[in-house]
Amino acid sequence: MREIVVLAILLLNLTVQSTIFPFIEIVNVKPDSLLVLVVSFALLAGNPTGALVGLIGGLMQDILFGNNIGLHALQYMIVGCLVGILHGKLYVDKFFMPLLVVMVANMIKEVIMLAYNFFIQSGIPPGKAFSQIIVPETIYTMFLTPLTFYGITRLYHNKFMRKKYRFRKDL
Amino acid sequence: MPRLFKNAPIIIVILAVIALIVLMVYTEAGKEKASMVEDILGQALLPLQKGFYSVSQYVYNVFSDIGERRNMIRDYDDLQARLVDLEMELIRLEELEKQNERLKKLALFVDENKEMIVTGATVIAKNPGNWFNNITIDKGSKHGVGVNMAVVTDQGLVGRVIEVAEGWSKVRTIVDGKSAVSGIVQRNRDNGLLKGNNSLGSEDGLCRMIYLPEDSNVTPGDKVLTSGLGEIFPKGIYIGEIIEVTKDKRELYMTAIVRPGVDFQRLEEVLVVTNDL
Repeated sequence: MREIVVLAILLLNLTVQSTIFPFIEIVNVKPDSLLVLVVSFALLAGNPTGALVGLIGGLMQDILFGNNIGLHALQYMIVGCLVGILHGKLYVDKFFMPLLVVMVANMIKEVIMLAYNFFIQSGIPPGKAFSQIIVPETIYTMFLTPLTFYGITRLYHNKFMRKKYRFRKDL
Repeated sequence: MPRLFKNAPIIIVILAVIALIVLMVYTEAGKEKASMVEDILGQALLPLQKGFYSVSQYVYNVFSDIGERRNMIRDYDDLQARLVDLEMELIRLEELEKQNERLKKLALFVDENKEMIVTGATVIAKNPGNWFNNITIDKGSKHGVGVNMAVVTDQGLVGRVIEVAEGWSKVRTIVDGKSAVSGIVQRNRDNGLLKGNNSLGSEDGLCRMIYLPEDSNVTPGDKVLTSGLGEIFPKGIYIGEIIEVTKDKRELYMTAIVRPGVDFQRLEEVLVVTNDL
């Protein structure tokens, strides 16, 4: 049940991201809702979940749109894994902490992208990429955070999402 | 053993990272046929994407129409004046076209246009990220679409097919940073290479025409067509208009910024055309 719900969320997100987001571009930059989802899941459920959600979400994006398979999967898996480590070690309020984590996570994601661009010698100047893609994208993505995080928090109020915890208690 | 077990998560993560990098390198250099997984996933998302895309296209059009209506009255007068000019121009062009057709027959050229078109297609999705400019269309190998076929609209060149599944295909647009198209300036027949402008922020939607000859006299306003070199794109497809010409002192070539005729923001219907007949 839980797996199906998460997969459905990721699929819906990918569809929305590829069809509706091109029309809400600001300064030619789209927000990255997948990143917000990965961070939310990682903050709320910790590590296998965080890394896995990132891996699967990134893989789906790679498969349907990518120039290669693995780039986005790598980005989101590393982000999910790193954020997942914070789970339980950090007091997460409803607003500011997710914003901060999303900001840092997006930067980490884009550093991996810059490294990739360096290795394929795409010739994109890093400074320009920073000012024209990375910064606006981070800000735009942060605007999506509160609502998405609230949604995922509500999702975790459902019993089926917490199945694992109950299973451990029973043990 | 217990120590290894304790470190298991880290080892798994490291292995996954290595596996992904290997996969990346392996798939980077052009795979052309979509794998089974891709095909199934794409097929499942197709109707959903179609629906979402047309809804968002509609909403976008409603909002942009409001903006356009404001300028309508002012534009009307301008347009009427232009209409007179254009009608004169049209007569002249029709004359030229007839002449051109006769000359073409003489030179044993065939009018390839009608046989070139493989199929019409609808855009159903765009790359979600901000770094690449790929689009997905709803026609695939079962409609006759093949890798490296050109994709055009009546406004000009869109890009080329880079991957084909059964019912959909990926298209790399000419504004993508990895795209390279051989182009020719219509007025003075100068050749150059059109590279996508890496979709960087405000320069999104523009191309850079590099390797123009140093003594070229291209000016803003010149039209750029495909040259047919490289045998991917058919010759003579309109690409766009030069808006800026720059020359670095140290470089042996000139560079021009080209605004494509296609509005990549409002892409709906496209045509797939082929070069081999």
